[in-house]
Amino acid sequence: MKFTKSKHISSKYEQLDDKDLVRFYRQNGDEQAFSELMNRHQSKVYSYIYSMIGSADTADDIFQETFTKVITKMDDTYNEQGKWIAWVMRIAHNATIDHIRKQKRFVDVSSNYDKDSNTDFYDRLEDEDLVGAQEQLEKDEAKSSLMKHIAELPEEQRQVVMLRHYYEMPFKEIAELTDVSINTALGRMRYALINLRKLFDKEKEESTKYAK
Amino acid sequence: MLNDENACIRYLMKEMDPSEEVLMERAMMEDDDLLIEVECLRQTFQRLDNLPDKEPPAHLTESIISQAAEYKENQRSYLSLVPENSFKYAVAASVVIALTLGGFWVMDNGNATVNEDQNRSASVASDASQFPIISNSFEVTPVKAGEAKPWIDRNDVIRFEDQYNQANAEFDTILNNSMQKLTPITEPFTGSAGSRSLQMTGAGSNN
Repeated sequence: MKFTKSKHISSKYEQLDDKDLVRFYRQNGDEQAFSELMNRHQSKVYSYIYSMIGSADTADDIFQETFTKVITKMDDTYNEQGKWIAWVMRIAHNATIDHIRKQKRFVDVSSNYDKDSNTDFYDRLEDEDLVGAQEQLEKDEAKSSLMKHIAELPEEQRQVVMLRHYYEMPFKEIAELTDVSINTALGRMRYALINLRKLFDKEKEESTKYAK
Repeated sequence: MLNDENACIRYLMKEMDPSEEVLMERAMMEDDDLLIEVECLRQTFQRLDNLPDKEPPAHLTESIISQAAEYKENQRSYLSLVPENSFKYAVAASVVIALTLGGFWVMDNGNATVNEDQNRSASVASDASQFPIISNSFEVTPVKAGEAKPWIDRNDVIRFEDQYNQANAEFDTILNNSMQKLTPITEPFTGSAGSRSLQMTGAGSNN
């Protein structure tokens, strides 16, 4: 569900790369250029924030805060040499980590229950267009299990997994963003995958037990 | 090269050089454990493809886009208040001010030098006629201890200092005495400078 794309954005903007869109917005205040940038990246930015926070309302706030900074600081602090989305992601990441530090609470999306909206986590997942109830259920279960296990990872490992997954960020950039060495970032990814594997195995064992 | 424990993850994440990749693949062919480890990590990593992409609420996106448009609009209206070439004007004004001040400073220094020259000329004029005028720059002859020690400043004005005790001495007397300490140099040092000057010294004076 991309937001009202056809309604707002002329198709010529879709041909442009991020750099040109950013330039159009910066120089001419081109709203459509900004809309196209949002359309391209909002989902990944939001998913990252949401996966780290686990609450829709808080994720909304951090998303809003991130883009307010993007709008007001783009002229001053964004260097066109770098990727725009990497710069946005840095802001989103910092805002997310700031929030987590402020709250000083362990984020747990595995509870499957969002206190803010009183809904189950998977009620809030986007509805795929009817693929069949059974298939949808299985998909949801896979996602549910995956999200649950990811939520069980230590925060540092979860960050690396999410940055890599949503942004395909090189480890050099992940290392810079999280303020560690490349080896540490790689190590976190490795341990995250090892831990996830253990969690999946454990889950499999338990479901086999119940089946018996 | 491949001994580090992150070799598997570097290989999976395509963070290796092509040459390292070849070495890694060769190592995997020779070492089953390594191959199994890489495959386990790969399978787990592939599961992440199921991570959902979550869209922000449409109203939130709309509000951000409006905010972006509004921000640029405000920026434009602010800039429209400032005259178009204000920066150029500011720079031009700064240059004019700097040049004016610089000009004044140069003129001021020039006048001061001329005045000093005139004063100096006037003060030595009466004596100058009695002494040979030579073409030379000033050279101070070393003086003995206890005698007046004249020195020449950057404007070629000869100066010397003496003690002045307000309690037991009259200023004019001391000044006169000091003036008498100056005597013309009998064998002036000659040079090639084209200026006219008078060499005097306090060395060897009787006072």
